[in-house]
Amino acid sequence: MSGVTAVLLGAGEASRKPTPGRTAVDLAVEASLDAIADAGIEIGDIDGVVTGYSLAEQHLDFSADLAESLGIRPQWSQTNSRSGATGASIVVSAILAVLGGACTTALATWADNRASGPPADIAGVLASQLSGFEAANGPLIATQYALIARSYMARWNAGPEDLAGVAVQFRRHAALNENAKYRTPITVEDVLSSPMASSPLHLLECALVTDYGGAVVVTRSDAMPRTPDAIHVLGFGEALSHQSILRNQELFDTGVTAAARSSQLAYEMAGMTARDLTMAQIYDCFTITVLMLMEDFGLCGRGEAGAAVRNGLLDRDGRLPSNTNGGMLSCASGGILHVTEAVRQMRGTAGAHQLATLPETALVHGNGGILGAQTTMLFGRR
Amino acid sequence: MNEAAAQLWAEWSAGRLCLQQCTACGRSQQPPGPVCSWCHSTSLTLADIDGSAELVSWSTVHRAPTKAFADQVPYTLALVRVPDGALLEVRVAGDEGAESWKAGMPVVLALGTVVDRALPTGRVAG
Ligand SMILES: [Zn+2]
Repeated sequence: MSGVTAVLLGAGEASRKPTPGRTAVDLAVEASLDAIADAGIEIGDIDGVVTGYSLAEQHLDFSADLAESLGIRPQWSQTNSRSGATGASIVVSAILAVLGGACTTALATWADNRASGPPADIAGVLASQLSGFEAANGPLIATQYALIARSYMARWNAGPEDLAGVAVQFRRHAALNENAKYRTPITVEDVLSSPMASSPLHLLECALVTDYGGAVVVTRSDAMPRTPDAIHVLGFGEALSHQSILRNQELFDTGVTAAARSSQLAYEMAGMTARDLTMAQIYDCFTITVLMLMEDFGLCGRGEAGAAVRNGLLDRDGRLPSNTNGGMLSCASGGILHVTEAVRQMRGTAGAHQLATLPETALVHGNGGILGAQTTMLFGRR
Repeated sequence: MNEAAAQLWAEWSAGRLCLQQCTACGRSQQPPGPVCSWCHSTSLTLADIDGSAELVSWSTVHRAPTKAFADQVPYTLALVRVPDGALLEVRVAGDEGAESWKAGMPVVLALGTVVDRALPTGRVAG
């Protein structure tokens, strides 16, 4: 992109200590105020609000609840529901809104009280979102990913240890993050000896269910206050292939997902390739998700992701530090934290788990549904 | 649930093993809907199937998604492809050897019952 671009002024997160009675809106407000403070602006500077949805609570328009709680009357607001891709997708919505002139400074926030709020059985709520023809047979969300995982493993002769390595890698990152839910290092053997959720996926290969809240402030480069460490949006892309896995046979035939398209669109907009990346934050609802997305992004060749992880590609000391907070597998639920973590690492405000060298560029990716909705963003420090 | 889905459930409940098929391109699809996902035709009908299918993938579920399935775990779900193209997810009986199954193995589909619903179920014919 040339000329006026979108920039991220700051990022905020809600405390992830489970607190009975805390609502999704409470978490959203906490994350939003943190982001506004981090951006160095006033609440009144916000003239656009975009939020995600809550699974734990019903809201006809979550963005209205957040805006009112913040005491603002934005000229643009929207609630986005794109399943797990929502965290990345609300930021794309904010980018489009500020570049398109709908508003100047947008707040993009996603929060949910999935652990401390009702209903208790989030896995059941999620599984009921599958088509009736799938749900009638009794699959977990993990089952649908497991079906895709088994095809991937057969296609590339990948073993359970290739998948498990992803969980081991991100736990290693979580160990340094005081906000991560699980910080004790684990081994491949630990993952493979954890109870099976839906074969071949074990419990330690599934994302956590926690409370979460994350927010970023997005504005235009020409409206930006003097903030030398604002993060520039270099490109973005989205793609949608299916709601039901029954309608996308490529998941099983080639294993190529819509993330190949969304990342290609982002690379083209940015004039970049995978080789230009210095950090990645990848939606990690299951171990298999990360391996397949890595290949869709071109971070390695097809079938090579397991070996790439084993060789340390994603390690904080490796060539492409990824999911540096521990990700959804060890830190917390909610794809919005991939975005906030990217901004914090690039601005040098990640705390104890800050990378030694500030990443110059980052790929941030959200995945929704069963590898159906994909959102890729590329950020740069300049 | 769309109208086509309601019709398909009703036919299965009445004992007819069928799927939605496109009269323009001849291919079948699941879940059914108002438009053919292969060719975008809106000329769709319910057509009988002979129960033949091939195994694409499978997973054994060890934790029940809801209370309704709690007394059934573990059970195996298979993804199968019928000759006219549709993918189905079905409960499979006789899954003792599931870890040695291979994609491409034949699966025989027949109407069965899962919890209280009549739907296609499978048996891997290895
Ligand atoms: Zn057709």
